[in-house]
Amino acid sequence: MTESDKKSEIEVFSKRLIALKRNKVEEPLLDDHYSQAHFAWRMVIELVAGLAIGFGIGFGLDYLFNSKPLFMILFILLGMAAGINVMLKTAKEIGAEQVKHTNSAKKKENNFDGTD
Amino acid sequence: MTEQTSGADEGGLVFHPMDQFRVMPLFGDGPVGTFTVTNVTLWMGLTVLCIFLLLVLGTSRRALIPSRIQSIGELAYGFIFKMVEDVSGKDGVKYFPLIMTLFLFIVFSNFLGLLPGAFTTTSHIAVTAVLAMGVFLFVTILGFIKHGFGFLSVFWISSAPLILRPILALIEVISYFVRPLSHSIRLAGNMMAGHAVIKVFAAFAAIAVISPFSVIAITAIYALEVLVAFIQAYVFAILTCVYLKDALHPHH
Repeated sequence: MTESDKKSEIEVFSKRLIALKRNKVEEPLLDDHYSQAHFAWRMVIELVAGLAIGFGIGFGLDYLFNSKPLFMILFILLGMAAGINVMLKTAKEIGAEQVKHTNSAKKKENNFDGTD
Repeated sequence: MTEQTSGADEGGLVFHPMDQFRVMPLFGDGPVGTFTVTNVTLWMGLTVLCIFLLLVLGTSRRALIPSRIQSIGELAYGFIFKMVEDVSGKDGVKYFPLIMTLFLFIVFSNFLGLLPGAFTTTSHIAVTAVLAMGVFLFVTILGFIKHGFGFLSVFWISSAPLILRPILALIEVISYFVRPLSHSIRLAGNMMAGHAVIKVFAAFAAIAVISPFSVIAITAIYALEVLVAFIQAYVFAILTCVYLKDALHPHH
C-alpha cells in the first residue's frame, strides 16, 4: 500500500463520515412539542401568580389601614402588570432559545460544507 | 388537601382522586405533628436512599468502563453540569451541587411517586414551596452578598423616564416575588393533576364496558406522566439556573 493509496482511503472515509454527520441534526435537549406546552403552562401560572400576589399585598395593606377596596384594586392592577412582565420575559427567553438553535444548526451545516 | 373527595357517586362509580395525597402517620393513628413519621417521611427517605444507591454505591467501584448504574450516574452528572454551565455561565458552576441535589431529589421523588401505591411527595405544595423558598432565599442572599445594595438596581429600570421608575420598581418587585410562587405551584400542580387524572380514569374501570378504554387511557396518561416527571424536574432545575444567573449578573 503506497502513501497516496492511504491518503485517498482517508479521504473517502472522511467523506463518508461527513455525509453521515450531515444527516444528523443536533436534536434539542427535550421533546419539542411537550416543551412548548410547558412554556405555555409556565406563562399562565406566572400571570395568575402575579395577580395572586398583587391581591395578597393589597388585601394586607387594606387590612392594616382599614381602607377596604383602595389598595386591593391598585395592587391587583400592579400584580397583573407584574405577571405580564414575567410572562414577556419568558417569551423573550423562548425567542432567544430558538435563535440559538437555528444559529447552531446553521453553523453545523457550514462546518460540514468545509473540508476541515 | 386531606379531605377533598368528589361526591359523584352516580351509578355505583366512586371517585376518590384526592385520597392518594392524604398525609397519614405510618405507625398507628392520631394527629400528624411536626415529628410524626408519615408516609411523606417514608417516601422522602426512599428518595434519598435511591439517590445514595445511584451515586455512592453505583460509582463506588470507580470502573473505567462503567457499569450500568455508574453510567446512569455519570450521565445525570454530565447532563446537569452542562445545563448549569450553559445557563448560568462559568461562575455559576460553583453552585452546581445545589442544582444537582435539587434535580435528583425532584426527579427521584417524581419517579418513585409513579410506582403503584406510592406516595408522591412533590405533589404537595408544602414540599415544593420549601424547595422553591430555599432557592429564592439562596439566590436573593447570594445577590446581596455579591453586589451589596447594588443588587437592588435590578428593580430600578434606568432606561425608563424618571416619573415612571417608582411604579416600574414596584412592578419589578412584585415580579421578583412571582418567581418562587410559580416555581412551586408548577411542580406541585403538574404532579397532582396527573395523578388525580389517573385515579379518575381508574374509577371508570368499574363499568365493564368502559374498562378496556379506561385501561388504555391510564396507560396513555401514565406514559405522559413519565415524561412530565422528568420534564418538571428539569424545568425546576433550569429555572434555578436562570435565577442564579440573575443573581450573579443582575445587570443583564
